[in-house]
Amino acid sequence: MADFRSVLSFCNLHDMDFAGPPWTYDNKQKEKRNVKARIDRAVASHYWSALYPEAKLTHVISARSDHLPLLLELDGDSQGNKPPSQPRYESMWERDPRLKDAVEEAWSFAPPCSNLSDLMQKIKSTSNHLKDWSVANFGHVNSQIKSKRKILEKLWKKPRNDAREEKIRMVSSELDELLHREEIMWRQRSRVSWLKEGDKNTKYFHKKASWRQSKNRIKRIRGLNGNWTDDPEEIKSHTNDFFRNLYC
Amino acid sequence: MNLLAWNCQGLGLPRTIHELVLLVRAYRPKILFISETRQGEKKIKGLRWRLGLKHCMTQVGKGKGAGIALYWDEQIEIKVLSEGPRYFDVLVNDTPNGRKWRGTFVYGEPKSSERHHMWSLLRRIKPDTNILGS
Repeated sequence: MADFRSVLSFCNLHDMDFAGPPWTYDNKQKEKRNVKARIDRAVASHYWSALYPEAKLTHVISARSDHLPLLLELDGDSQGNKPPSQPRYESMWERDPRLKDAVEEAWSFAPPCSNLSDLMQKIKSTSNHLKDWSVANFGHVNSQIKSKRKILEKLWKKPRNDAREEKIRMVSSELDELLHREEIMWRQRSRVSWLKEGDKNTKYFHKKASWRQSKNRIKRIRGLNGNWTDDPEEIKSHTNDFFRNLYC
Repeated sequence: MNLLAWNCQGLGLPRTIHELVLLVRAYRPKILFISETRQGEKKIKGLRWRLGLKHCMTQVGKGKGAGIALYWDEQIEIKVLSEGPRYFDVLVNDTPNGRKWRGTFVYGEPKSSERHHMWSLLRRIKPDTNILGS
């Protein structure tokens, strides 16, 4: 380690900051024999860091190999910089009869409130709880659809008998329900309100939804001083300033 | 532009290759450095199409902890300055925005008794940026 440091200082290199787990090597042994260490690194010169000031190093999780992959993103604006998504209410949850209990449980989890800010906290915690509930019980609709399709395909290949027919009927109805949920999901995202559920026009909703997503995104903004900026940090501070001036 | 470096401990198992393909699909690196490939040149070259990174270079080593490979995208220009069984020293031309930099991809010596070779090599080539494994 001392040798490594002396080589680094000799070459004028510095160890880069990283995100993710603090090790890159795990020998996957149990208890006392377990060793975790950060032996895979990215180091950079000051010249390079000035060239890529936004560069971001991440230790990526992987199930294979004892070493974690290192991801070096040179421009900050790729996927890693997206703000975390806010938990939202999904109307497709209503297809699940357990939703009512889940909402009640989530609501009673936070203490009763007496003022508006407490109420806001409570609503926030409820939606967080519902999000967890959805992950645990509702699952990812797209991947479920895919796996059900595969099961169905396999069933069709089997020799014909009553048990098979019964199973096919069951899986088909499950798949149908999932498709319905997917449609509701995209409909909610597309904000098309003039169509009743039950049209399975998912492609159209999907198109609408991606259009809405791009429309909602603030790519650049003009500050109070009249200059345009596309820096995400500046956009944030301009927005904050604007509304603070408006209300205070 | 993204870079990915991974000590995969052998690219022989289909599961590991699948994981690598998934990683490349998720992070879309323009440059991919793999250490401990433990595979011949033919197999390494053949992977280019699955990874969607059309260019590659490899050093095939002997034994368990051996072999390194570098894959890169067509949009990137790579000029090799020097290479050895445990490192690639290259000039990267990030063509769309024209930034040029030197990158050294190193797979370190696992045996501590042999490690001084690595240190003297690094002192000799004096890299700008490098990604180290082990």
